[in-house]
Amino acid sequence: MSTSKLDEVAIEADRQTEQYLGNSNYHTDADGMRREFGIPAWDADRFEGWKSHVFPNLIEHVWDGPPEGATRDKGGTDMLATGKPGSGKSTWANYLAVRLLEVNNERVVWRGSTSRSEWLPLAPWTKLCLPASARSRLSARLEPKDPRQSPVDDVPLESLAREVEWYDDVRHLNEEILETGKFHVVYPDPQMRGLQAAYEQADEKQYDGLEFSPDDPSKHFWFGFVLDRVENGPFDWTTLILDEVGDVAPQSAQKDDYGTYQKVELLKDSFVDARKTGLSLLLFGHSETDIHDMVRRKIRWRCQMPGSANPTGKSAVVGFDSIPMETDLTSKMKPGELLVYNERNFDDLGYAHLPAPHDYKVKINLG
Amino acid sequence: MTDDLPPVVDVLERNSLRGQPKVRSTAGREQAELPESVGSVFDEPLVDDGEEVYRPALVRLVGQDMREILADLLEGFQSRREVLEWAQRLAVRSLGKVPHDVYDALGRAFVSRMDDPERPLLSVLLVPSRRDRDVDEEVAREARRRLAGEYLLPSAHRALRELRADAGEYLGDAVGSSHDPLEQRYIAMRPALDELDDRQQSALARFLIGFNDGEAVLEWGGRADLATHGEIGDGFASRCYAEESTRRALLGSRRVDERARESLAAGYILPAYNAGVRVLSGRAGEQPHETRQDRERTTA
Repeated sequence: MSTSKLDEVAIEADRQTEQYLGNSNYHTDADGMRREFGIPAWDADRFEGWKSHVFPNLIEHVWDGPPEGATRDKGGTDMLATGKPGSGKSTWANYLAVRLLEVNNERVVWRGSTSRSEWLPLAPWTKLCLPASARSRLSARLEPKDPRQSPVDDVPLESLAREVEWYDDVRHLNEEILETGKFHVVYPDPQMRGLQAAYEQADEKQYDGLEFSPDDPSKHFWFGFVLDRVENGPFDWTTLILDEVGDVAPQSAQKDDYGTYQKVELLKDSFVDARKTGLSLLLFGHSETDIHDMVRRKIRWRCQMPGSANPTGKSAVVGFDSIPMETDLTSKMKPGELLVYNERNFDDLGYAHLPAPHDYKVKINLG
Repeated sequence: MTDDLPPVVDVLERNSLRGQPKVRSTAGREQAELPESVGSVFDEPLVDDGEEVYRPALVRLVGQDMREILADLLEGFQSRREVLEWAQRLAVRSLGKVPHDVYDALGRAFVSRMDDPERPLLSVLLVPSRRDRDVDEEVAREARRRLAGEYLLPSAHRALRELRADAGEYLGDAVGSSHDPLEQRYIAMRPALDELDDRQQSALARFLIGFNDGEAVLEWGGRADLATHGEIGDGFASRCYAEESTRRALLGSRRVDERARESLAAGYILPAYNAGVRVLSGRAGEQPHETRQDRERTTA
């Protein structure tokens, strides 16, 4: 019984791709994704010229802009998407991953979490990156979305995604495991290997009481990941998709035993470097106030998912002096539509549906 | 049908315009005296030669486009057709900021009734020699000035505010360079608007001239879609073809057919022009019946 269930849910990986085989005769991972989900090719001309800074600039990453005239946001970009559960945030995150892979041949990193697996639509192209420090204790199970069904235990990792690799420490991860043009789901290292070293070597970023240690909650890994990437590279286009950012950098962050507040400061200060080193940060949460305003202030783009009203008029958004929308547009939108905006203008857009390949959630227990 | 005229025209009603329509006689008709001072204040250039301009898009919008629009309104129009052409130019150059109410009122102004062949609003827009109704010229000019003040200036203000955020800033000597606003070819320096302007002009002209046959009407339907950026009501073009009386008006060459086409243009096409520009400019509508929310969205 169990093996046939496993067969049912095993991922059919797309291995005939340029990224997997290292041969440019084959279609890219991004092409495969677009074909699977019916996403038309990226065409910046679909957007009106003077609104190109709203969405196209978020997606198309450039090191240099034109010398005059049109505004061009250079380097890494940053975005916060908010919406209620079920409004399509995770689908939008998947969709953005596809676009970034297609347009910039990026290294896309999705925050792996023990409780969620919204990345599953892209599983046939996913490289699972797991910490070597947890290798002996790690186990995976499939939990049905319908709680009346029974879970599937001891699932072989290779059946969950196209590739599985183990990283020794955060430097190894950034330097050798992450690859351009691929979609990675990275699970944090509970041992925080390499993070303290990266922190100590970063001359200009020193905070009282900040330390990375195995006692920290594993979500603190992400502060160190960003730091290591902006300090030590490699400086290829990289995007970090951080779902549930409210539990990583909450408004309520305190200077507690784990130095949470100081780490949020570290993240805030890393934003400028992120832009300059081609690291883009796409954050997702339930509402603006989930995330500490130190970080929120630095984010230049917002997405409002349908089902709740978008802000209007004077600044309801930290870091924005004004909001370009005059009326509420998103309350009446349906899933599959959303509003993207920055301080200067907005665009209402539609995107594709990316369904998960099966009705289970992947739970990876790092022991 | 009750009238919802803009407030300024109520003034005309109270000044008892509901007199007998003037019977036009071709013999001994006085030439209209255009008061020489109308509009002359707009003859002065907004930008002197040699003056540096750092925000060309804004200067072009305010300096050239809207000034022309205002000047034309204050002078009065030589024909109904001119009013329509002016309303089209206004829609584009105001970036769609003129409220729908104004275009609705214009549309109603072009509808003749048995007891009231020329509506007051239309009378004041036309120059004295072209009116069917007796109006004190001073009252008419004041009405046009009020229209400019109550509707055009606020719309220009809103258009400016929108453009202000989008206009690039140019450094360096503006005069004679490609940034010289007086040399800029495009409306508000936006090629897409210029293109829409052309399409609107030619689609309107085509419509007013009339059509040779049914096929030409159908062909025009496609042009109307482009010219209104998709905002022309569902089935307008097909109704043009299918409704007997409408088709007669479009294909006919009598005077009454011409008038009918003008009414149709004022009532259906021009409001759609305004909506189309508004949609193209990308701002949320203030009107609850805005169709923008129903149209298909751009794919991200």
